[in-house]
Amino acid sequence: MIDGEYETHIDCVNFLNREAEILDEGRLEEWFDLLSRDIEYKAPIRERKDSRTEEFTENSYYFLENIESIRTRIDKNEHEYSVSTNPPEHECRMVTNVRVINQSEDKINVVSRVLYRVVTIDQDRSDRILTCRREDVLCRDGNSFKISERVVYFDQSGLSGGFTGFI
Amino acid sequence: MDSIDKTLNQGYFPQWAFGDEGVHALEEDRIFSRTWNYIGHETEIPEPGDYAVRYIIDDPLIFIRDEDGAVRVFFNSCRHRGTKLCETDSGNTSHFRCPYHGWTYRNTGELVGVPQKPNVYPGLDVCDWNLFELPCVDSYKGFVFASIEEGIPELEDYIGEDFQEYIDIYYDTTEQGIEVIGKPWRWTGDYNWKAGVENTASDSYHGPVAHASADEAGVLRGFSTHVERYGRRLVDTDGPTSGMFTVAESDEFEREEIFWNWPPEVTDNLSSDLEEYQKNLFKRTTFANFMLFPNLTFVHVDGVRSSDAKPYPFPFIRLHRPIGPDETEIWLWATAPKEAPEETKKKAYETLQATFSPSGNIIPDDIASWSKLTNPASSQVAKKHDLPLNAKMGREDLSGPLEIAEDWEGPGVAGDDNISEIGIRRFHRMWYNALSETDIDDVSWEVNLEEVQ
Repeated sequence: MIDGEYETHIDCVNFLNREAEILDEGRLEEWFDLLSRDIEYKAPIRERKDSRTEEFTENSYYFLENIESIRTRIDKNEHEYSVSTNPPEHECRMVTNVRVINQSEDKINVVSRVLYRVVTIDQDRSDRILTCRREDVLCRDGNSFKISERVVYFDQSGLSGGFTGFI
Repeated sequence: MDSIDKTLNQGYFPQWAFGDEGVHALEEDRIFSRTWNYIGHETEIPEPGDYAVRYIIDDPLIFIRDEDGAVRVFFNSCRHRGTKLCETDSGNTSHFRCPYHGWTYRNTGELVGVPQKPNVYPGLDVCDWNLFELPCVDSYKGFVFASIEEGIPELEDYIGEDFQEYIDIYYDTTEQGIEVIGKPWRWTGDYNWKAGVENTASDSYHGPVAHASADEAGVLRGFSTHVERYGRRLVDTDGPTSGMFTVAESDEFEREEIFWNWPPEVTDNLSSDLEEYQKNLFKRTTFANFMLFPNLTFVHVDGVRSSDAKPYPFPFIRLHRPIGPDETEIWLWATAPKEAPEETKKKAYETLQATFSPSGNIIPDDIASWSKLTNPASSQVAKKHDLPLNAKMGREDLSGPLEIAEDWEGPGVAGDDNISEIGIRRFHRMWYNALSETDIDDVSWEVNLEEVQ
């Protein structure tokens, strides 16, 4: 590796791991502070096609968020009467396969994979695992980063369950 | 069956029927196999060769526009050894070729290729081995339906004139009609399909409670109060349908925000097939919410993507596909009038995604509620004690005589009460009518007011 790349890689791994921990623990206000105010957060719908390159749609999304819609979602999910998040789900995000694809002075393109397990409702009635690939644009912010763009590519076309959490 | 009939006659519903494998098997046989199931909208397959794979229960089907332009629904299974032909979700094709032995069909269903035929099948008449087409395929205003079994009424007779009119007013409003935007969302939930349909049939009671968090987060914008004031609930229609509407009394809304703010490209292009009273009804409606038996629901409402966003209307279609007594797959389609500007269609899509999509602010709380409803239903407690669930709200023996809304201009008969479970009772009767008859000819598709009031 060229000088500086190793540090960037470690910084990204640490950041993404910390982000996953924050989300797993439901510390949504802290997670909100990790986002750029102009964030674009998307997860395109996937279809089974003859060619892998055609599978992700260009106009249909499981997530299609900006900072305001994320703010409202957090406000809603943190409310004590939110049926789908109270009692809270048990979530586990395992971030792996982290690679820095490109970097400039202020932005880093990083890809990662996430194994997301969510156990819902009492008596562990619903226990599901989803995996995905993420493409992020991180902006340097002091000693840390802000997420300015995230695209989540799920490994399923029909989803096994909906989402109350962010990936 | 008799005991279920008695329970329904009291305005109750047997809890165990939400979680019983036997009931589910009977529903597959007597409801979903012999009724008009929603397959898709014609605008999803605009060009010859366009197709999508859809399902009735778990039966894989090919929904396709053939090369002659006709909409077809084929069983997704090769006629040779039954191999599934199409494993992709959608696309465009002139032919289907079986990967196992190479039998090839045109997109019209005709068998046109049998490898080595002169040697291996010299006497085979290929005309006898075309793709199996479902015996009943029909559409109304672009909405395509199909049935596995024959013997059901014609589509327009089945849905009834009232429902046709609701489609005409709310889902075929403009000269060019609606189109589906994007690909449907599909996701599963741990709930019984009937819980989802009940919710659309007649449940405004849950709004202030199940959606309290969305309300506090600024998503509902006083919707529940609006329903209280302007709600009109269907109490009688001429088909297996039910629904609820909120209609402002005049063009002057008292609220600052108008619920439906379709732009002039839409409101200036209302269909010439609509009569004046229908156009006025559309303009003053702020919530149109109706269901078609067994599992298809329509909601035309507006909402916001975030608490500070401008509201946009987003008519959608939703199907609850039954997988098991405690599992359902939801299909959700975004629609908009074709004349709407691209920016409006984009906003409609974004707003639907932020509310009723699998990550939205509204539907996850509904699904969580339906899942909690479904879980105790498969218990021995519910079965051994035949516990009744209460769907009596608005019934005469509880609430006094039904007040009909005499000023209701829409089709069907509407009641003046805006919080009632009469639509749920109507759905229960539709369910019982279909389930209890062995012979399809004996099934009654209409529900009389006396039966539910």
